[in-house]
Amino acid sequence: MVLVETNKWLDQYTQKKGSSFKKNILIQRTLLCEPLTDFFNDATAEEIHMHLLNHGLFIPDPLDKQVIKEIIDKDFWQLANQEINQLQNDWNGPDVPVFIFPSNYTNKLLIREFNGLAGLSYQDKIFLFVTNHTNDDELQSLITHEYNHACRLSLSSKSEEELNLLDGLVLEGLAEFAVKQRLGDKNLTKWTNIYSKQVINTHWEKWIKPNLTIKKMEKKHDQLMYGLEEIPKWLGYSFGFQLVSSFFEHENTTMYESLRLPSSAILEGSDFH
Amino acid sequence: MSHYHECRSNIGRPVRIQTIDGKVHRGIIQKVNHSHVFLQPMSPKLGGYGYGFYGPYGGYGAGLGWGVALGSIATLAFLPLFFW
Repeated sequence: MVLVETNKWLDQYTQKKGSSFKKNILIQRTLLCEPLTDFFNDATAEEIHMHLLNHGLFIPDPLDKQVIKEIIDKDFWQLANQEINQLQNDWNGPDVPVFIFPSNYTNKLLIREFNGLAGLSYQDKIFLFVTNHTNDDELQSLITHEYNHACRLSLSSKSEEELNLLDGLVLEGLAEFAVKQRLGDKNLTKWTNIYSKQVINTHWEKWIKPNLTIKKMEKKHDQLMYGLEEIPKWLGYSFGFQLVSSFFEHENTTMYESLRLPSSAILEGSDFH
Repeated sequence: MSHYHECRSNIGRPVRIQTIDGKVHRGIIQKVNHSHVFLQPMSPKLGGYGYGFYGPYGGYGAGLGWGVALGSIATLAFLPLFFW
């Protein structure tokens, strides 16, 4: 595991930034996204920049200097390092680079629903987006969730093109169930308990069951995961957690073993099949 | 045809530009002047799994456009529309 020294990149950003938003966006891209092109296959700095902004990266703003200073002072890098080493040990997971950046604290929804926490994970890298108000429990929850993804994805033989909705449901469910196991119910994210069992059963029949084989690359995949218009909010995330919770109710197993099971086996052992 | 004219007659089309320093740019041509071509980012398909937050930034990437100096262009190729 490599905790990349993004604190140094961020420090440089605060030194180089000026008062023009347009220029600051370009400075952010050059200092924070150009170095990331080495970690993606055929992606430009502009594409990475937009992708990270969509997933919660901070937007240049007059207050960001202070926020970055506080984040650096809190030394999240140190805690993240310890935490990931522990998880890597527990799950025998992969060595992946971890990038910590401030989150978009100007986004009301991100603050209200996630207390400013966001993340993005691949089989070979993890991004964590935090605020200057993030506490240790929250950081641990976020890391547990994201590193669980990196583990499962790296253990899976499927390529990104082959992953489908069922894989996504299981990934999200396992990741948040790992938070429940390690840190308890009080650290669970909001989408874990927004729907009752009865409502979830209705959603299963209507939305999930007919779409289990939809590929991740299809538009409908993310609409089902996040919700859109008549598709309920955070449907896939919330359903995934119920799916995995019911699996752990029935099966006497560990997170270590579950990370290595195919999605179909987890579905089979759950209430939904 | 010069890069200027090529870009000028293809405003709104997705393009891939490689500059002399080896850097690759992909975007939609927004405008062009005698020194620069200005691109808007295309919605990237870079995948990954998150924590539950997704907020498309500025709808179509407003404010994320950038300019590439015409004199720095090594190769320029138009991309098929289905690319994005």
